[in-house]
Amino acid sequence: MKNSSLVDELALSSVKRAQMLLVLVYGSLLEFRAWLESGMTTHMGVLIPSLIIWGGCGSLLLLRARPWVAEWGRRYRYGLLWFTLFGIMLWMLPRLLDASLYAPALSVLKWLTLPLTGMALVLSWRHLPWLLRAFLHLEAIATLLRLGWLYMAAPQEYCISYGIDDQQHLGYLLLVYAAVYGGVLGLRVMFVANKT
Amino acid sequence: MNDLFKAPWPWLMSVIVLVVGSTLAWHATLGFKAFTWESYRRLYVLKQPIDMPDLQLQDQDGRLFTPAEYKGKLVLVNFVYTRCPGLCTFSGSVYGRLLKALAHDNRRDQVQLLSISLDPVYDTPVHLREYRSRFTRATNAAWRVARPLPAQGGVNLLAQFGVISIPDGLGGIKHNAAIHLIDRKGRLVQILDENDYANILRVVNEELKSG
Repeated sequence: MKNSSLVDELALSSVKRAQMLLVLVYGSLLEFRAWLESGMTTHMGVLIPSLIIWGGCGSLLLLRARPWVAEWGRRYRYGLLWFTLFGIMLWMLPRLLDASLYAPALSVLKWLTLPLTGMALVLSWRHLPWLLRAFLHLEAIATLLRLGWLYMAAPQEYCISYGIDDQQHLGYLLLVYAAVYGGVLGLRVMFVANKT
Repeated sequence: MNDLFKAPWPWLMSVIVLVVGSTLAWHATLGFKAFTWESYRRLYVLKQPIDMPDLQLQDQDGRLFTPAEYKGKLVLVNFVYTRCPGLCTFSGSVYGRLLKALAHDNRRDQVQLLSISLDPVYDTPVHLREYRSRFTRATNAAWRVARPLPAQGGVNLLAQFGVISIPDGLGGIKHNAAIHLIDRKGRLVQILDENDYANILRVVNEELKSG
C-alpha cells in the first residue's frame, strides 16, 4: 500500500472489523437456522429480510474496500435491479419457501441468492433515476401492505409447513414493517430531502 | 441509441437476467398457475402422473400387502394418523360416505379405498381398526387402513407424492389432507380436495368410465 497514512490505516481496519462482524452475523443466522425456519413469521419476516440486508451491508463494505465497484454498479444498474426484483419475488413464493425446507439444493440457493439480491440492490440504487427510486419505495410499501393484509385475512394456509396462526402473525408483522417503512420515508421526505 | 452501441453489455445483462428470471418463475409456478406447494403438486400430477412406489403395508387386520396388488383397480389414497383430533376425522367420514356410495352403485370391486398412516409406530392394527370402525360398520377389505412397516419405504412414498408430515408442536402431525387417485396402471393421476365430495364422485365415475 503506497502513501498510507494513519487515517487510511484506521479506515481500513474499521472495514476489516466490519467484515468480521458481517461474517459473524451470517454465522449466527446459520446457527439459528433451525429456529428461523421453524415458523413462517421468522422465516419470511426475519430470515429473508436479514439475508437481503446482510447482502446490502456487504455491498457497502465492498464499495469502501474496492471503490471501482461503484462504476461497475452504475454500468450494470438495470441488470442488477432486475436481479434484485426477481430474487425477492421468487423467494416470496410460498411454494419455494416450503421447498427450501425439504430440498437441500434449494436451501443453499436461498442462502446464497438472497444476500446477492441485497448486494445488487445497493450497488445499483444510487445510480437509478430518482423517479424510479420513488416508485420502488412506494411499490415496496404497497407490497408489504398487500401481503400483510392477504396473510391476515386469508382463510387458507399458503405454506404447507406452517399453520394459519403463524401466517396471520406474519401478516401483522408485514403491516408493521410497512408502517415503519412509510414513516421513515415520510420523515426523510419532510426533513432531510428538502435540505439537500 | 448511442449508448446501446458503446456499451452493449449492460443491456445484455438486463436481457439475460430478465429471460433467466422469467423462465425460473415460469417453471417454479408451472406457468404462473401454482404458487403454493399444494397447488403445485396437484397441477404437477395432472401433467405428469407419478408411479405409485412399491411398499409393504400392514392393514387393520394385521395382513401384509402392497398397493401393486390393486393394479387394474382404481385406488383412492389418503394419509391419516389415528390420534389426529380434527382433519383425519373428516378424512375418515369422507371415506365412510364414499364406501356407502360405492356399495350402493355396485362399484365396490372396482375401487379400493386406502388410508395410509403417518404415525406407523403408534398406529398398530388395533388402532387402525378402531379408527376405521368410527366411520363404517363394514368389516370387508373395501377400505383398508394401513401402516407402512418400519423401513419399508413409507418415507419414500411421502416424498414422491409431495406429502408433508411434520410435528405440529402440539403433539400432532401437520400434513396435507387430500385424496390421491391412483389409476388402473398404478399411477397417481389426480389429487382431489376432500371438501368437494361431489367432485370426488364425479372424477371417480369419469375414471371408471374411461377405461
